[in-house]
Amino acid sequence: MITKEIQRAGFPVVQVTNLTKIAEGIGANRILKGNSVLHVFGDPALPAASEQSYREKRVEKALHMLELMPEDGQRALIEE
Amino acid sequence: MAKKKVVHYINQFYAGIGGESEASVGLSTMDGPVGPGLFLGENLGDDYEIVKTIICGDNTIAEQPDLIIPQVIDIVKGAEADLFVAGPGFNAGRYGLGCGNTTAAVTEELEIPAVTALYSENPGTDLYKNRCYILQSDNNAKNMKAVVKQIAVFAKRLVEGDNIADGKTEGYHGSGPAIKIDYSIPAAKRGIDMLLAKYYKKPFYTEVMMPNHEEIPIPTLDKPLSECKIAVVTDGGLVPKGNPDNQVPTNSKFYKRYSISGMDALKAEDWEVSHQGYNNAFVLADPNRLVPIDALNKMAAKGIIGSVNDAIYSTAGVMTPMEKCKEFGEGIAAELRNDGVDAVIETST
Repeated sequence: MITKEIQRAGFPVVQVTNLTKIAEGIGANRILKGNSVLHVFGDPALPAASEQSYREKRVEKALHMLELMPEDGQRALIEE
Repeated sequence: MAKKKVVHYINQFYAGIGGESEASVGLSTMDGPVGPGLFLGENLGDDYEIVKTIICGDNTIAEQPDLIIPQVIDIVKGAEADLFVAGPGFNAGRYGLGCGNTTAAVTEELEIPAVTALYSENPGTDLYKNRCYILQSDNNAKNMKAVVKQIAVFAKRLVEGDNIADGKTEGYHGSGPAIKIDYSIPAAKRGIDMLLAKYYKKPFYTEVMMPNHEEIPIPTLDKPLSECKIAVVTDGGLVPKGNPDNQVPTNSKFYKRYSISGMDALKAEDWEVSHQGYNNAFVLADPNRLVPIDALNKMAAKGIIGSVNDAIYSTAGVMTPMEKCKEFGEGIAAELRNDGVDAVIETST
């Protein structure tokens, strides 16, 4: 709902979460699946340096999702 | 088989009495279908008969509902109606109030199938969408025929006792009529009965009100990403060390804006988590796993984005009512605008 009101105000928002179905159901319209509920933008299984580059890749992906233009009638852009 | 009796509610305009100048005419009835009722009758088919049309001026019903609604109920009751239909009212405000109010009153007081159709932004929609079936229509009365057909198909299913699913699936606003629960039957038995009914494809009604979320058009960037200022919003409950604002870990009452000015990354020693809905250990060890300020600053340095907002927004999204979240979202949006932010990453745990 927070995402939705920010979208309503006209800001592109990419919601990064593991609960993508809930986000979609509520009406978030750019959704990227996170690594885990416990660490959306992290992967503690990786060595620190690898986790850092993993995070950078995921953040970059999220940012590029902000650039996507929806097709006519498309209600949500989702990357699992 | 006796035909099903239908009572139809319309306003003075569709009854052919007149437009705005006649909007204060009182309540009247005519036998048989009138105006859009003719289409409705055709679409309902031979097993249905529109026995009465109730007509009321839009001003009259909007201004004096306490006087008019009981009279509508009496007429519908007197006609021994099996079905009540109002409108459709599209985006006509006072007509929409009339359609919603009469449909809700008939649903609740007479407990017979009742339905109307309105546009989402009609004021009648928000007021009555959780008390009766208001089908979703567009705002263009030119589509009368299509919408009347949609009403007829749905109305027949109501009369036949077909299972009606949630609003998103069925295309009605809100959650529809209030759910009746017989508390004299234990919850476990009600649950099993529902499951069996579902299994045998018999009608059943969930006791859980499903919020029906409206769709918002997808906002797009109005400048290249490389010029955009990006902010992070999280419902993962990240707060500065010591939780200076006493953010509660559940059922949040507010969100907070926290400065990250001058921070290349979030340091574990500066932050903690107030959120009882997930194991916080990984975020406590490295807050960037929730609010990736380190990576965002890298993106800014590389020129992929213009800049990173110097504040983050945080609350704990645990058992927080929808209405509260809506309020948070509105507040955050206003502050983001002040911050000059162009787009947002929101992280949810």
